[in-house]
Amino acid sequence: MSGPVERPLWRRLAPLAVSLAAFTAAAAALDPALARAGRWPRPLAEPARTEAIGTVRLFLRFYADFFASGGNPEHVGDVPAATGVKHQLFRDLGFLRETDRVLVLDLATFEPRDAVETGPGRAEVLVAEEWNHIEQRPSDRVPIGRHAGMGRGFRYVLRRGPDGRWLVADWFPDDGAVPVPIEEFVW
Amino acid sequence: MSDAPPSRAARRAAVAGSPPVLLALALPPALAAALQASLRRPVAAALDARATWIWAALLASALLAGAVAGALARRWPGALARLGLLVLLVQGAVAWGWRFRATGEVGDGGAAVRWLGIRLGPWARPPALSDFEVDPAARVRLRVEGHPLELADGASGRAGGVEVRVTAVGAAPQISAYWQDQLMDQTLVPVGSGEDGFTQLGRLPHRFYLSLPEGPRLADPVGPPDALRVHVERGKLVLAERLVQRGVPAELDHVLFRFDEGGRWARLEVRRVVPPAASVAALAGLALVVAAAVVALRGARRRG
Repeated sequence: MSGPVERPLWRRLAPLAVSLAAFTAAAAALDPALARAGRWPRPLAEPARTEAIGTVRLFLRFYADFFASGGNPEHVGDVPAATGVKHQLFRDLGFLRETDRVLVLDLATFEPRDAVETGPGRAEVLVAEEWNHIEQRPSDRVPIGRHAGMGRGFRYVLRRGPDGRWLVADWFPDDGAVPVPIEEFVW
Repeated sequence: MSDAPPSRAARRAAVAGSPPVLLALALPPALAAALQASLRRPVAAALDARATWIWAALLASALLAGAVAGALARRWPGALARLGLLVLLVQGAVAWGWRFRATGEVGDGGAAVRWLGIRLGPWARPPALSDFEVDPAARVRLRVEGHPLELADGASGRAGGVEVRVTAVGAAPQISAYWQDQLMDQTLVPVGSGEDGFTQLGRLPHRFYLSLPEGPRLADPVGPPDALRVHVERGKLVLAERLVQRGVPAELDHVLFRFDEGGRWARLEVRRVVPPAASVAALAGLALVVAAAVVALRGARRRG
């Protein structure tokens, strides 16, 4: 009398292999974030790093231009920023206009200190900045106060827009990147 | 054991509930969770994945099929073990799906709780907290899922299946901002909560950072402070850093700022507790698995 025929190992492991393959496929289709999820934040790789820093630099150029023009909204559509950031900017410009002032800002130093990916399509850029600033009377551009300067660190929160370009979604002071503690005009 | 040949359905159920199939269904989610842990990623992400829930549902079906097939064939240890594992699986899924833990900030007269750092399962919703009140003795009163609850600072209590612990209480002075002789905004702002958040008032662009002056902690943590340190920023610029006395207006960048006695705030740690029925179900599942092991052991002894 012969004993029970033992199935080969590959046949015994077949259900497990099929289940593992199906689970992997299902997770890739239904939970793509699970496969992509990593430890956040992590350093932003090139070319995204250069793009993100370039976006912040461009945003600051528009930022200074809006203040220098007294709030001319001509290029508001070109600003690489989310709607909330633009609203806050124009709230600031409106307040200055209503208090009969123009703020002239000049970016003297722009030193990116850190750029990290904080999630899918999200990044943060830490910049040490030095600004010269003076308030003027809008009618004749006569200075109201004296020239002053300041150095501070700012953290910019960026997210990818619908077209894939970076947008400044928020920004706030960050003591982690103070260039030089200055209170006076830089140059 | 029954002598009648098993039906085709019974044979299929037995195959579906066989150990290789159960292992094949249980292992992928377990490996995914282990992989997450080994990569120091949150294991919860793997357990919350839709694929995991599908495999858990398949595993539950296989366990049920195996239990039924075992009972039909009068193989009681196997049937009991599968039934016990099924109860444990369902209980675990229910507890995980309805888990809720968060920190909430509430204030006098506030209509809603401000949730911070919520961790919740796919079916969970934040519990309904309402009717907040912090009295001058720093006792917090609120309704949790409609049930009244009163707690002292640092105390915890349960109501409506929710555990609440008071971790901090403080004052929320009333802040007023006037511009061009017009009241722009008036609001209660919690201070001393340890958060570096800012407040914006009305359509003013300024960011007001309010904090208690440095020094010994006040004897009465919920009493109105005599003075506040006010740090004002607008855009890139820091405009003022000043100590403002209660009731005394201060001009800050063309804005008249003052604060007065207002209300109080509290910070709560809130979590949903496992209902007793779920604990009973888990115990029942464990009991079934143990009973299956005992029956199997006796059977083995009888066979020699």
